[in-house]
Amino acid sequence: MLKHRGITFLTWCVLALSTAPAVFGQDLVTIRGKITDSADGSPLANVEVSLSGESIVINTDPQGFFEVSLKKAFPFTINYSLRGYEPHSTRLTKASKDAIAVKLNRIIEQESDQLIVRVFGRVQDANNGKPLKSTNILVKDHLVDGREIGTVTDSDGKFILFIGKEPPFDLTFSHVGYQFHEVTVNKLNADNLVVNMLKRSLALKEVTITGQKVEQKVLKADATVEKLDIRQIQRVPSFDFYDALANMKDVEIATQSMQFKSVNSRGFNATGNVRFVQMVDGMDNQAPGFNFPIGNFGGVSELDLENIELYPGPSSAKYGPNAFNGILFMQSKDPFIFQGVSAQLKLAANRFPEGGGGSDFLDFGGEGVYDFAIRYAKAWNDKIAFKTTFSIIKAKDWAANDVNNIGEGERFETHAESPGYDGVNIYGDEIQANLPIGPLGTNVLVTRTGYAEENLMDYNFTNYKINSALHYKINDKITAILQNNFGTGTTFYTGDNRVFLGDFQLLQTKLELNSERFMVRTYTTQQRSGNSYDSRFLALQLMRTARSDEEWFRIYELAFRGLLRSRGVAGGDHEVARQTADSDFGLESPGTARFEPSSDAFNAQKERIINTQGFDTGAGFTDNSALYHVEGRYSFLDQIGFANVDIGGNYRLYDPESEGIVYPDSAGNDITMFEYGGFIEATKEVMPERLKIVASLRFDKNENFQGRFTPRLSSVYTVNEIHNFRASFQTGFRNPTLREQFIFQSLGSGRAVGGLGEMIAPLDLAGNAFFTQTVDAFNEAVDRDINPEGDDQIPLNQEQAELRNLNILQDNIIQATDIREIRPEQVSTFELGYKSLLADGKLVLDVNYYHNTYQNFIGIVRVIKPKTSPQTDAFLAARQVNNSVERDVFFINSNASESVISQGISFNVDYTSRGRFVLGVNGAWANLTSESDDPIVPGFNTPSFKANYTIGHNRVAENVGFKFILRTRRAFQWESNFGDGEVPEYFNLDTQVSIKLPKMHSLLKIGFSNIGNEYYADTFGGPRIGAVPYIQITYDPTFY
Amino acid sequence: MKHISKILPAFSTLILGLLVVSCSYDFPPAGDEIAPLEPGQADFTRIVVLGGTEASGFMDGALHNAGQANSFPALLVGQINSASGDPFGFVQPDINSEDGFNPEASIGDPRGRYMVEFADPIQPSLLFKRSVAGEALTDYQGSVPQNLSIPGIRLADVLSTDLNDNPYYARLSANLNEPTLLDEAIAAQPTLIILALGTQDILSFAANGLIGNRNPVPPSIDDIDLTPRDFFRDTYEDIINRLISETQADILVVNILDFSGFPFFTQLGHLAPITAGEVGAVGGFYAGYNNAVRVYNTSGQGLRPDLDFFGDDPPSLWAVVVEDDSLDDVMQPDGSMLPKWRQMAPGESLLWSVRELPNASGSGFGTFLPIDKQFYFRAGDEEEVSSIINEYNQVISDIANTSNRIFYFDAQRTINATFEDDFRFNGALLTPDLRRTGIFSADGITLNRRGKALLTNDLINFINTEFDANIPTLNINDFPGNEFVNGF
Repeated sequence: MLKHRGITFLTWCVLALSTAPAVFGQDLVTIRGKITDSADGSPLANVEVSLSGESIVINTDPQGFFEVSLKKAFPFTINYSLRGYEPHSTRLTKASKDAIAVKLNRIIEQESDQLIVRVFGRVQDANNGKPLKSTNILVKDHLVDGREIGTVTDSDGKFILFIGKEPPFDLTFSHVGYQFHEVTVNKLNADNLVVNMLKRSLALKEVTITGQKVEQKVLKADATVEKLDIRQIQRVPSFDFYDALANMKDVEIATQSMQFKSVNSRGFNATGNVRFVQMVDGMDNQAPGFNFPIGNFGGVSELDLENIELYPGPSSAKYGPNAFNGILFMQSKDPFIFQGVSAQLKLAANRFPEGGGGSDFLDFGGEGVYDFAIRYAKAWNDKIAFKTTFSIIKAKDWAANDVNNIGEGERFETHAESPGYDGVNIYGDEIQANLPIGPLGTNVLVTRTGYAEENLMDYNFTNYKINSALHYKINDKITAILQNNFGTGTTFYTGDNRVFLGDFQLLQTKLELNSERFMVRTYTTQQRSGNSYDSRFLALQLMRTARSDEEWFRIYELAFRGLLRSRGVAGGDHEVARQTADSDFGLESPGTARFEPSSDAFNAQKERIINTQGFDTGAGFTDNSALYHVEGRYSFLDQIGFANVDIGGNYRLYDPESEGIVYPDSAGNDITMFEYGGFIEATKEVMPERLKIVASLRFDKNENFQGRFTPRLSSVYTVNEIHNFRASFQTGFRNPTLREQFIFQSLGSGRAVGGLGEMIAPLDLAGNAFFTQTVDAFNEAVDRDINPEGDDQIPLNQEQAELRNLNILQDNIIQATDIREIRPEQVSTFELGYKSLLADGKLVLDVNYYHNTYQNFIGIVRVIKPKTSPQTDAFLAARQVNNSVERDVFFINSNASESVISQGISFNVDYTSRGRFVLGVNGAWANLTSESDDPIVPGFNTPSFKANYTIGHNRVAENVGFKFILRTRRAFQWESNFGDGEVPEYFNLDTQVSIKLPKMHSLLKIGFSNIGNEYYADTFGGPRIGAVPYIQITYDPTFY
Repeated sequence: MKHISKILPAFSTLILGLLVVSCSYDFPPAGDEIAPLEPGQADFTRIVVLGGTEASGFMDGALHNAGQANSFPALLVGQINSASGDPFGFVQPDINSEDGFNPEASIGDPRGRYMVEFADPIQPSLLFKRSVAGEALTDYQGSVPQNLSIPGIRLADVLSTDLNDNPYYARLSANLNEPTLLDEAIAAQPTLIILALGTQDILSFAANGLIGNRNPVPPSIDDIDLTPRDFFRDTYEDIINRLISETQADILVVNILDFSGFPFFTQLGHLAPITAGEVGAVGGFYAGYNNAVRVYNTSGQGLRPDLDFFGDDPPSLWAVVVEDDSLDDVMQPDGSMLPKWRQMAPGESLLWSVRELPNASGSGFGTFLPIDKQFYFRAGDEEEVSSIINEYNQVISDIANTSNRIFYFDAQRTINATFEDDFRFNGALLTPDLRRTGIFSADGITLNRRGKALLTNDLINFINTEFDANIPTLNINDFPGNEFVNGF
């Protein structure tokens, strides 16, 4: 009981607590102590004694004693305050019968006149009065020893501050999800400050740090949504938070380098994924020259990342045509809310040798990975806030080193066994010729020797990223944002070929005005290709510089036929023939017919070729394309009686600049392309809190295509506030990208051509060319006649067999109607879902089913056009179609004629055990229900089944948490312009243990991804990924 | 609602403004337009051609529509006209026959052009020729041609008033106004004359196995004789002098292609395409002959080759049997002369003029029936012909140097280039043979359409260089090669 002041209050308090022990489960605690002057030991009367998280304040008696009894759980802190003395506190971790002896320091003389003001108050939600815990409170413009003074609210939203400053002064209040607030403290309100915080406007995305396992918003969403909040991001059990996306049930990652991971959901994955949109703070962060995002190259640093939301499946009706396979939102931190300095350091190692370490003890043979980021944000007042984040990563990237054979012969064979060998990541060996060196003069496919990717690419990289933003609140409701995201460095990607992006730059600059009701945003994305080059062309030019294809194959043929025996070259041996063609044999001047990797000549030629722009003679390319975007949105909210209505519109202009290398935009032909669109969406709670219906309609128009409408209808039905059933139907379409419309790029083995009529017409294909399937069928028939199965059939020679089967070609010459101008692709999607939070919030259950019907799929049709039209001379054309120098191969963007249906089921079960262990499993089945032979249909490129198994604990011990994730994928077939082949199944175990370091305001994370160092690739021909042990420390006073 | 009134108009204005100011992209006009003709110092107003077989468009052993339409003069004028806003007229004596008349193959019914065929599966790479049904020549009904090229004429024939033995001339004669072809050319008062003569003066001699007279006395020169070089020079000078003096035209003289390596002389090689089952019969057939040779060879009087057809020998020794007058005379015990037979050797070749391939199961041609010298080249023949051609070309070149109105076009250069390894046009292989990549037509001598286009391109480049003109060249890949019999 209180001995002095406030007896009545405390009595009430104790009584109140004692009446509810079952609720709180706390014991009655009695605390007593004596407070004296530290200098002379004299007792100090009237010292204010307060307990953290409690409103109780008592004063010491004239002998300096105090005593208080109350129900409270340990640990807690006792604060002491007396004018003229420094504030002091004692942290009690357990009950004790001993009195606390406290000595207070007298404030030094020059400050002795200052007051120690105690501010006590409570922070609550302005709308419902609920207390807001963890609200950040800072004393404005008041530094002690260069540090800001502040505190945070406890679980009841209460706080207490001791400030050596004469009132009035200002306190700033910030809380995730609420508007920045500022209060002036004076002597009248210092003892009982009540701060009402307003939720942030709808225009700003909600920050998703909640105490719940799943937000209500997600539970009741009318579409499948996957979310990661800031804490989940920082506890991802892998080096790169992007890997966490792969742990989502409907999501696949296509890794092309450490810094470039493409995201996809629900099938039809691709390395350059134009069907999936990635938004960073409202900006589409595609590289405008490529039309797909380069992973997080120019995106947000993990340190500045607030949350990630991913909507799998078509979202075109709301987010525009490109959100065909899904959309990913990354939201960076609001500088008003997340202030101060934070930093993150990651140290890791990668590229450990497969199957063992280095030669020395403790030498594991890996390479170092260094990643550092620092962020600073400051709100000067409730008007202006600024933030900037700088990050740097230095590492050696994963290698794409698959040497399996995709050419003639078995998969395991090499040039030693098969002269037609074509290695997956060997480039230049796709140059082939049919040489008449087989039995009876039959053709034998021979390929050039080529170079491994590792010889052509320097995998070492250092990348930088700078994100800055200036936020200005024009008034209470409208905020202006000027933002700049810039990334530069090196990365690699798998397009039609493997491409080295060196000194690549991606810049996004945004100006945005937003409020609860409206948003206007304009931004530009600029890319600079720097010193980028195409590795396949580098290989081709290296080989052709050393010796032309014609000469190389000629020498090979002469050698194999034994016509060079007089010069000591044995005939009939493919290896000898290859060595001879690669040797300096027959060179007129001293030199070499093959530059050996790492030799001085090789390096000099490589340097020359990658600095030569254009693929006719070099491998370098320029793509300094840009896009300009403006959009607006207005939310009527309740202004329209029957429903909440949103409207919006956008306009975008693409301005490619490739100097004629990627696009036909050589001098005087400045290509541009614009598109615009608008939408209206109405949300109606037909049965409040039970049934919500959302209807939307979107219209989009591309400069080169007719405008189209995209409707969507969805509903969510909630039963007993627990079970949420959702259903939706929408049609969507996707306009061909800039590349799909305009590309005119040499690919070494052919030329990629945009699908616009004006691009195709000059190729003069009608009557003059074949689809590759026709040529394949012809070749198969020819082979059958050369090698007849029956003994009674006389084998024909190559020419006779071709002549005999000429009708296969003649009957299938491409006609004018066979290749139509490219059109938008369409999808109709139907989705059912169920989501609930069961067992007192311990069990999350999420299941959904989708059914997509695709039409007019945009893909590549491969056309072979012999130099001589088959209408002119079919027999001559029949020879030319199989001879790489006598034909042109075009990879034309076109539409499939057949419909494709895909469907899938995905689920997520997340259970929190009694000991607060979190056990989770999610998975997805996905398959094509209607296989298509139409070669245009892009590869599904998605495993039929994937699953992720999680076990974790956020606080398995004091400040210690952990998370393990086992990821499994079935093997699946990958089809792309780069190549087709199987991606083997893989199992990965990713782990992390995190330790909170409160005194350092830091989180230490130690982990190991792909712990078994079982190298795997998630795309065909992509880099192979091994183990990464890492240690990461994040300093962030906001959280730790 | 007050926000709407403020924001929407501003936003709408922004969007509309961007729509207005953003320029829509228009594709540039197609870039394959031909630059307008600039003739330079040349005058293409009236081109007249005095030529022989190749310039007439003769191809596949016949003069037929496709060959004539692709004669190099026709292709040249076609290219000139493709770039000229006002096309120049160029009259060829249209043959009006799809398959034409093939004088070589027409023994009874008129036969037409040759096609190439794969001989048979025994020797799959061996090509031969097969004629299709043809049509007898019909009289030309049009105006006086500007392409006065007549298949088979020699140089002196353009001065002759008696050419009606040549059926290709005979079909024109009614519509010609002048007594000689040269007169006709002069009467046309051309602005540019192309003189492409002289080939036949050597070709007939060569194509008959060099059995003709090397030094006949003019004017008595038989079909298989070689035109004497001095007579050739005198005639050429006469023609040039008249053209120089009686016209104002520039004269473009085309030299003689070195046909000695053309498929006619090389394609068939020296081997007999017989099977292992047939070789025994052939060997047995010559057992007596070989015994006589052996007797002679052991007599010490000399050496004669025997005929080597043994089953356990490689097929490379089963060479065609020919008659060779240069072999030693051998009298047999019965007083008769031992036939002068031998097998052909590597480097020798049957000529394409044979009517059938050597065989052992049909007529026995080349096996049981030795082949006359008229149908084969022996070692050295090819070099001799090549040497003669070079001599005659030197004559033409010398004459061309006598006037700056004469331009000497070396037609050999580009055709000979195809004999080098890997000759390509825009990637596509061109070979000096009868295969589908070949530039020679099925008669083995004249160029097929691809060959004619190749020759025309070189001529165009020559004219463009010499006259500073800009005639567009041809895409050779737009021209078909030989037509093959598809009998599988």
